[in-house]
Amino acid sequence: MILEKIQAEENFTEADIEQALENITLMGSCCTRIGGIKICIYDDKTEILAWQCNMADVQDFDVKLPTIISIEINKDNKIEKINLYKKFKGSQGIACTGKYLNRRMRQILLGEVFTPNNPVIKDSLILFCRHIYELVYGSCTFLEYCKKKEMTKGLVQEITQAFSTETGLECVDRIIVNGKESITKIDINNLIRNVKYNKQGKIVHAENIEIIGYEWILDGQWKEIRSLQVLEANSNSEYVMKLMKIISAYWIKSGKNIEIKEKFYFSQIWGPTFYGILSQAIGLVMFNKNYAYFQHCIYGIQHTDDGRPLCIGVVDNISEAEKYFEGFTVDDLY
Amino acid sequence: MKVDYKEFAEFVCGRYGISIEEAEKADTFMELGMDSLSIYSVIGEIEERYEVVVDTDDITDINSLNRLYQYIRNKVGK
Repeated sequence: MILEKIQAEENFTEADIEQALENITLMGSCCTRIGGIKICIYDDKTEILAWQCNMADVQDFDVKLPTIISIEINKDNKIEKINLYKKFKGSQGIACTGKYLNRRMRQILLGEVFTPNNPVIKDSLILFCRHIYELVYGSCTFLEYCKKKEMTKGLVQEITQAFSTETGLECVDRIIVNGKESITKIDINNLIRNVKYNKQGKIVHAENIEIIGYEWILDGQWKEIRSLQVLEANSNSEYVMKLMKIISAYWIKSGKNIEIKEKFYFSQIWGPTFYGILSQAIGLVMFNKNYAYFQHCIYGIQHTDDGRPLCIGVVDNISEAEKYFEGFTVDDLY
Repeated sequence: MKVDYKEFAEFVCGRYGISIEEAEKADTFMELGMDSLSIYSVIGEIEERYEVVVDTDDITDINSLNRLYQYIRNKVGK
């Protein structure tokens, strides 16, 4: 298990993470995300390594998108160095290139103050990639957490797995923050035939979706976190916000389990991040792992209602990439 | 805790990267190009800042600066 392996090796490097991510599998789930952040604070600088790997069982093939970012913060708390690892594969169309995204990330972030209150760090759209944003913002909020705790080293690791069930999904999350662990589970039932997608790949109607969450307690049992919640929605925005609001209760409980009293943004079950994982899993369950439908669902979550792409991976063609994503040129593909 | 409109508007608009004038003119945040994930994130921060809990059923109704302000002010006042 990657979590134990990494936990035991305090001095692991980017190459070790890369190797570990290459070896992981879906382990029976339809969708899995593994993530982590390692922080080392020195007198004159801070080094951060952040990684995430999304996996999905698409058309009975394991599809994997690993993302690793290294960051160096100087003594003025500004980003001195930042790099996206060379083997970034992209997740969707050909415009989703590491070359462009790394350049964009450096252009926007180098020299920026590394604090969660910095609007540039908070902006979920400015880097043109949701995965990169989650790693940067997650690292920033985790660094702040470590500093508050007066720690010079920090490590968070997490695995979130969605399993297909007869009527929906079972999503299990395991997070370890500086040695403290929380395991939670969210069951989403009555999913099949109760959600409706539109032509843009967005869920626009949901009825009688039953959501209930549990925590894993010491004597080896699941304990209900709160009573069953029923999700009903008649538009995409209503669906998105209600779903996130319901699942946020389990995220907050998970934080409490690892002695984090406030909201924390370096977890994969934080609403906006978990929403992405759930959307992929729901798409896989609803359309029998069909590749085209899966991509269509991703297309839906990464577009505004008026059709503007929110990440470079979902553009229809190169012209659209050049239109919406500043500085992108066809040369970035070669 | 009292909710000061100017401070509230600056917080919300600063988070969205828009001017207060723009936000006041728009009927909804969506009109300003905000997506559901961004709106949800800001609401989460407001909950933390003002120590309130937004009800799930209300979340889609508080979709403009004014409606959000009135809602939070009523919650804080309770």
